[in-house]
Amino acid sequence: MKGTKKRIAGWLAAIAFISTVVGGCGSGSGSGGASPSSSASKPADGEKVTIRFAGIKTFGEDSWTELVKQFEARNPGIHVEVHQLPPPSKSTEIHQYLVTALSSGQNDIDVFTGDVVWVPEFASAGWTEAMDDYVEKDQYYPGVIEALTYQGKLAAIPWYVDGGMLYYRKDLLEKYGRPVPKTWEELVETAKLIKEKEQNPKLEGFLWQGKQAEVLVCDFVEFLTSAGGAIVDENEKSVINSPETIKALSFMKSTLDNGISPKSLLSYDEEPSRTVFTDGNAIFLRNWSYVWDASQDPANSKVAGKVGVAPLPSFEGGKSASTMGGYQFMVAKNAKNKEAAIKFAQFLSSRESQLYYAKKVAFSPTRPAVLEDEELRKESPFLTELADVFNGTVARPVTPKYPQISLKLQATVSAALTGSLSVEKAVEMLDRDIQAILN
Amino acid sequence: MKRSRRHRGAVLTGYLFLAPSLAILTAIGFYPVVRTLLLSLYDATFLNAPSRFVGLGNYAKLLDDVWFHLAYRNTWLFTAVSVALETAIGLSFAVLLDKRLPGRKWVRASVLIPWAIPTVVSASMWQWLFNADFGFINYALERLHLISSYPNWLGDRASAMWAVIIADVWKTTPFMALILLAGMQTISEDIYEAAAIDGATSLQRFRLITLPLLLPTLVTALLLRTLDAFRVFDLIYVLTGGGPANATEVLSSYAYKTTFSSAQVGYGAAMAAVMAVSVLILARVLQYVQRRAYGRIEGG
Repeated sequence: MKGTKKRIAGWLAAIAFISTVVGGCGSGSGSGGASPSSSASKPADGEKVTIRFAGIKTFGEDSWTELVKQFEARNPGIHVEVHQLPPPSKSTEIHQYLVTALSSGQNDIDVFTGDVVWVPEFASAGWTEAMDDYVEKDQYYPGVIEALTYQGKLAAIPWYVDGGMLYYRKDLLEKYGRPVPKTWEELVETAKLIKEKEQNPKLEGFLWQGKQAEVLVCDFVEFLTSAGGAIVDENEKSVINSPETIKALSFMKSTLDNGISPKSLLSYDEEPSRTVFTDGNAIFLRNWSYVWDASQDPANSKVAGKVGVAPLPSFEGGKSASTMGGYQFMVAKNAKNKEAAIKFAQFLSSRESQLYYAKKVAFSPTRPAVLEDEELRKESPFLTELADVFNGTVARPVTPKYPQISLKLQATVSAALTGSLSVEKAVEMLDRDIQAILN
Repeated sequence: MKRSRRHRGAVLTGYLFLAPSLAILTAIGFYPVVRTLLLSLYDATFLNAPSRFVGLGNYAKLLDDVWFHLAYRNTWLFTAVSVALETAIGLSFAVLLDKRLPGRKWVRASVLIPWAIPTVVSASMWQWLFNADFGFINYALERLHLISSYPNWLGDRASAMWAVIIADVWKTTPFMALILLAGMQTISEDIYEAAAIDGATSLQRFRLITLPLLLPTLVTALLLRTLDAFRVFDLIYVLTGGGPANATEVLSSYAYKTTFSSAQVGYGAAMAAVMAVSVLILARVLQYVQRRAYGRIEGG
C-alpha cells in the first residue's frame, strides 16, 4: 500500500513538473518577438554610440550583417545592434511587436522596418519622426512618397515596394497558342481550356490566397479595384456597398465553385500557393515579386525557365490593379541617438543598399535610378519590365484605423468565400462595420 | 480584559505575517483584474489618443458583434466536446494501464509523450498531418479507399473545428488518463478481492467499486480540464488562426486579436471580462458537483 502511494506521489509530481515545462514553453511561443542576434551584439566601446535596429528577416539569418558591416566601417563612431524580426509572412506578429515596443515608451528600438500599411497608424500615434528634411524626395517614385506621407509629413524612408502580379506557365500558354490573359474572364477561359486538354487531375487553373489573413485583404483589394470599386473614399467614408464589390467577391467565389481554383486555396497564404505552382501543378498564380526568384531556382522549382510574369488581369472595361506592399524604414520619435539613427536609415535607403537588395532577393527598388544597373537588368529583367506595376500599386485604406478594418475584411470576405454568408449579406455587413469603425 | 488584549495582539501579529503574501496577491492578482475591468469602460487603444469613458458601451458593442457571438459558441462547443472525449478515452486508458500487463511501465511512460510536447509544436505537427495536398491523413485515407478526393480539413468550415478538437484530444487525453490512474490506485485491493469472492463480474466491479470511488478524482480532473479548455489559445492560434471564416475562433483568440492586432484595448478588456465571468460561473457549477461527489463518498 505504501509503495502505491509513493508511486502516485511520483506520478503527480511528474505531471506537475511537465505542466510547468509545457506551460512555460507554450506561453512564450506566441510572441514572435525579437532577440538580439548574437553576431551583431558585440559590446560597444566607451565612445561609440549604439543604435538599436529592428529589421525583418528577408532571406536568412544574416539578412543585415553585410549592410551593417559596411555602415559601421564608414561610421566608426556608430555601433548597430540588430534585433531580428520574423519574415514579412508573419506581419501580424511583427505589427504586434512594434506596437507593444513603441507604445510602452521603453525606447527599445531606434530604427525599424514596417509594412507600408502601418505608416498612418504609427504616424498618427506620434511614434515616428518626420523625415521630410532627410530625404531627397525627387529621387524616389512619387507614388511611394505619397503613400508614406501622413497629414502632410513624410513618416518613413522608402525601402522597397511590392505588388501582386500574375505568374503564368509560358510553356503551357505557348503549347495551346493562348495569349497572356488581360481580363479575368479570359483567364478563366484559358485555364479551363488548358485543364481540359492537359487531362492532368493535379493541374490547377488559378491560384490566389484565400486564407483568413492579411493577404486575403490584398487579393480582395486587387479584384475590387480592377472591377472599378473601392473600400473607403478620400473623405474616410465607406463606399464598399457597391455593385463592383459584389462583382469582385462573386468572381472570387466562382473560381472556387467552378473548379478553376482548388478549395484548399481557402487555407493558402503566400507560401503554400507558391509551392503548388513551382511544383508544376498550376497554370496561373497571383503572388508577390519574391516568387520570381523562387521559381527560377532549378533546385527547388520544377518550372524553372517556364514561368512568365505579367500585370494582373482586370474585369472587362476595368484597369489592372496591384496592391501595394513592401517594408519601409522608420525612425522612432523617442530614439536615443536620433542623428545616428537617421543616418543609418538614410544609408539603408541609399542607391547602393537598394541595389544590394534588388540583386540579393529581387526587391523592387523605390529609386528609379537603381534599375539602370546593367547587371540587375540581366538577372531580374522583370524588375525593369514591371516597374510600372510596382509603382502604380493601389494602397489599402489609408487610415490609422486600418488594422481594425483589415480584421473585419478578413473575417467577412472569408465567410463569403466559404459560403457561411451570402455575397450580398457580406457586403452589407462590411459596409456597416467599416462605417462604424471610421466614425 | 488582559486576555482579550493579548488575543488582539496575536491577531495583529498574524496579519503582520500575512501582509507580504497579501501584498503580492494584490499586486499580481487583484490589480490586473481591477485594471482590466476599468479599461473595459474606456475606448482605450494603444495609440496615444486620450481614451474616452464610454460606460458600458463596449459591452453593448459585444451584444452587437456577430463574430463575438460565434467565438462564444465555438468556445463552449470546443470545451464540451473535447473534454467529454478526453474523459471517456482517458478513463479507458486508465483502466487498461491499471491492469498488471507486461511492460506496463513503458506504456505508462510513452502515453505521456503527447502531453510532454509543447502545444505549439504539436499544433504545427497536426497542421502538416491535416494538410490537404501533402498531409498524412489524406494519404492514409486514400490508401484505405475511404476518400476519392482530398478534403481540406483545416480550410473547410464544417471540419476545421473537428480537426482542432482531435488535435486537442490527442494531446490532453494522457493528462486525464494519468490523473484517473492515480485515483484508481488509491482504491484498496481488498475491496476488489471481497467483491470477487462475492461473485461480482469485472463489469460490476468497475461500475460499483471503481467508478464511485473514483468520482472525486474524476470531478477534479474534469474541473481542471474544463477550465483549461475554456481558455484554449495556442493550439488554435497555430493550427487555424481562428479561420476559416472564424469557424474556429474562440474567446481567447478573438480577444487577443482585438487587443493586439487592431489595438482596441478597451474592447478587448470587455471581452476578457465576459470570459472571466463565464469561467467563474463554470467553476462554481463544477465545484458544486465536486462537493456533491465528495459528499456521496463520505455519506456512503
